[in-house]
Amino acid sequence: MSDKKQAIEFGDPVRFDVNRLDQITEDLVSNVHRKPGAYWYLGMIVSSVFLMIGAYCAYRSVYLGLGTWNLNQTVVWGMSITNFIWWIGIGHAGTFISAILLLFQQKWRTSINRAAETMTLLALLCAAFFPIIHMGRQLLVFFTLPYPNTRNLGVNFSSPLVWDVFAISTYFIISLLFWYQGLIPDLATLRDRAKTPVSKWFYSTFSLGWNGSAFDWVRHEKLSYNLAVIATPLVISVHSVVSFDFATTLVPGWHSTHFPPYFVAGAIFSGFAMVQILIIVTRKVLQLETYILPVHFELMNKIILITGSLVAFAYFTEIGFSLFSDHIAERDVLFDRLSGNGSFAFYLTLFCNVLAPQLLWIKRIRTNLTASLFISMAITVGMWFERYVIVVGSLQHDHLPAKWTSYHPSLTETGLFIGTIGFFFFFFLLIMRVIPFISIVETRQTVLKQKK
Amino acid sequence: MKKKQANICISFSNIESMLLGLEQLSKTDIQILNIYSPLPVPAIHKYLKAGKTRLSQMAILGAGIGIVLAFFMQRYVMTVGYPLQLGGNPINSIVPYFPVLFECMVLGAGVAMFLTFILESKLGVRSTKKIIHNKVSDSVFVVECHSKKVPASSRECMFIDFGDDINLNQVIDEEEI
Repeated sequence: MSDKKQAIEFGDPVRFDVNRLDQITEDLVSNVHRKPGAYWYLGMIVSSVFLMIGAYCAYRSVYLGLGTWNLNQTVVWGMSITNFIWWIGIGHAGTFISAILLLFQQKWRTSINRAAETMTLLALLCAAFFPIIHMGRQLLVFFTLPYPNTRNLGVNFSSPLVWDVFAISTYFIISLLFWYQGLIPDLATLRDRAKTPVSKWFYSTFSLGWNGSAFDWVRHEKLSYNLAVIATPLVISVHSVVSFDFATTLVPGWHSTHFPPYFVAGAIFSGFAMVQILIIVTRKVLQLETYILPVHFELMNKIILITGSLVAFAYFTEIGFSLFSDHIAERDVLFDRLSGNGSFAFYLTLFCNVLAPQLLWIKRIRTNLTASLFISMAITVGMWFERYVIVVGSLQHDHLPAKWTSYHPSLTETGLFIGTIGFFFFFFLLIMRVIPFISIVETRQTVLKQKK
Repeated sequence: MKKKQANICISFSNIESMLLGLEQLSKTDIQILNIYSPLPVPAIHKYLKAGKTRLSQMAILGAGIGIVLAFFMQRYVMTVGYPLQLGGNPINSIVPYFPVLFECMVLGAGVAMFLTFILESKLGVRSTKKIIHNKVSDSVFVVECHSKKVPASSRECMFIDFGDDINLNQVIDEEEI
């Protein structure tokens, strides 16, 4: 049987050009031990500036209040809720790659799962920031939690907003456990190679005394699979719950039964696009060409193509609902999107999320890194505008024509978004200096399998 | 039953040699107590009873606790603590409880499994687990064995480095000490 046929039979088209375990370790810990390059410093400087802009805007939002935002009585959820959904969506690919691809035994996930899981955690933190700052009185965030109190007020468990609190908290904790349990053996590798007292202390503390015993490995593998089993429905549930925030209301453009699958597909679509951006850039900067192969991008692009097609189908379903439902408010929202003051965002969404991914049908583009990078960037932008169209586009064209208005984000709102992008990249770059970018253990396992 | 003390530790530089070594060791009187490796060893159950864990049971227990707590929390808040009245009618339908029930079930199962893993593996910030070889986390495989022929007075594990070559006679010779 030829090599190609064998690869197809085992469903594992990735073959690394390494054989020795110590070489794998050496290559994959190099990002921790090597001095960071100019690109890393440049990334840190840019993200620090973004972070400071965000911090200043957060200060304005807290000190001066939400009057610094351009929200009005019609558009009560503006850019910050758009950002919230966008970040939640970005965070979806991490657990999809970790859990669902693990259950389907897709070994190609090995090279990308660490970056994707780290991205998930940071994206969730960025997402959580927006509803909190949107509250106006941020110190009262604990009001969202159910606990006996003297105010004679409890949270309403019939509200999807409360479900969101539980869904996102659970998602964050499970993603954190998944990320950390996979990291323990790699931290032990770094512990045994640490030279300075600080790094010795750090890696000894967080590797929890891992010694590679067979008994521990058996438990570790079982924990990975069990966590994958419970995280898989969680991936689906979290964005479904986020979509309920909209679908359970009567706002035209929101009140629709197709929102949960539409949101989940969109989340995986945008999440994979973001993972691809991170991987393409980091592969170049950390010189990981041996471990992140063009076939990884091809496979990721195929998932982007599938989920992109689902998203496109959802767009056309939505248009169909509006045209054929005989609901005047729904139709008005559609016409407003097509020709109103938000039409630019709508057409940009269609261009970035429907047209641009169609290029991925061509194999030469699917395997071209520069083209993949630009398409992924287009999708990331397009998905932000999609959420903007949903949130703002629907609210500004409500049931009552007397309430119709327009909304444009203020500089403070924009600055907050820039701040979260800075936060994301600052901590992503920082974490990638402390832990291996690719799971060492899983790479060893993949190499061992390919030897067979 | 008293736990057997490891008195021979054999190190291998690759997994293929270790698997061959394990195959040969399993045919002798030497008992394999543990294997330390930089990655999970496939087919380890042939040589070592290392599959015992309560992770699945604890996951079910954790999920059950999560569901029960979530149900009573919601029921209490919605009907006893802070009942909502809309048009004179209370809102206490059970169907809207499902999302939070599901999330708490998953959370309970996940946390229970992780804690079980930590406790069963005796991992922790102040863990005193012995690190048998500082290259086990890199590329070395160590098989910890017990042989009756090695004198009981010998407390330390006798280290034999096999590298790529498997020379079982070397172990058997050492046993004669």
